[in-house]
Amino acid sequence: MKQILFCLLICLLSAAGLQAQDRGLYWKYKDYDGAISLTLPQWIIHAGSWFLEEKTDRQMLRKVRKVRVLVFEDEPGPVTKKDIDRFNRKAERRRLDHMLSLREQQTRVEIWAKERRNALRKVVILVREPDSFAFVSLRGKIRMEDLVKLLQDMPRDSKDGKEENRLIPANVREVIRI
Amino acid sequence: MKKFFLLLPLVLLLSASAGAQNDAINRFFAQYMEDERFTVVFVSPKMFNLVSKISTDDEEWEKFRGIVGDLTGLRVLTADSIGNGTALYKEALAKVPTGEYSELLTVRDGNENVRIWTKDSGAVINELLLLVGSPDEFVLLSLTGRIDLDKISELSKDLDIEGVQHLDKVKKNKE
Repeated sequence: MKQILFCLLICLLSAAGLQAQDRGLYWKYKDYDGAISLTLPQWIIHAGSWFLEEKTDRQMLRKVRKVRVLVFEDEPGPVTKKDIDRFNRKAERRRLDHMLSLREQQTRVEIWAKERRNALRKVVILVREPDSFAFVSLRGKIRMEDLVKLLQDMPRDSKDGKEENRLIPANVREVIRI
Repeated sequence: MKKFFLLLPLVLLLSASAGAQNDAINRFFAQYMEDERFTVVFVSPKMFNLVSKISTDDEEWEKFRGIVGDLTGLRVLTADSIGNGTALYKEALAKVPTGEYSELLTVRDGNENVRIWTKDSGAVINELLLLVGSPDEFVLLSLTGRIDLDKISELSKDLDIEGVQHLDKVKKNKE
């Protein structure tokens, strides 16, 4: 009986250990030295939206329920390739779709998203550079109609310097312009 | 029944070899994926799917949506100021399964070589493969989906991804 109890205890401890190893990137590294980590709940996002001038931007921001940011600046950070591989596996299990990935020299940008019933439920952006790391996770319910509104209201620049409608938002263009 | 059993291994062999041919390009991508001299872009089918769902009354957007709506993936491997672009071009060229793809365009302009292949099933083009090589530049682009050659050159204007500008040559070739 003693042996069974002892085995059970070991099993429980090892299971807890496994669970701890499987924590997400944010939870694993948020308290590390040099980490800038923050979680913005819905009420803060909602309050912040009042500072936006454009009504569409305000409405869009209010669709976001939670934002998590983890940044390591001016240092490589402790996030290893193994962590990223684990994140990739976990993302697939959690039905996050790989949307876009880009690597230029040592800079890597990866975008993951979860879409359900015509709305974006989660977007994860990973930016890795030799001397910095950024993880942004955004939860909410951004409908396709909201993206349409955002696209329509987006200021766009033309060749002659004047603003015109551009298909791809400037910030996205910055990411994918090589 | 005997015939069926005789045909089955043949079909299996053929499908395996088709996969292997496609693997040659995949392997080439994989080989240089982590090479820092190259820039790698991958746009997933889901991304194209998502873009195609965003419908607006903006004419330009709708045109773009019409093009990308039928696409299922884009992979670009590109390098500028690389030094051995021509050698890489030759290496990639040797790996292209020419039996599987039909050549759409070949351009040799000075030191620059451009080749475009398509893979089709019937009247539908399923894949477009673009290869560019010059002493200091190399581009390998693979676009999958239902590809309309008339529309695809428009992507060169709408996507700010290096290498995509060469798709413009498809239109020039048609003209």
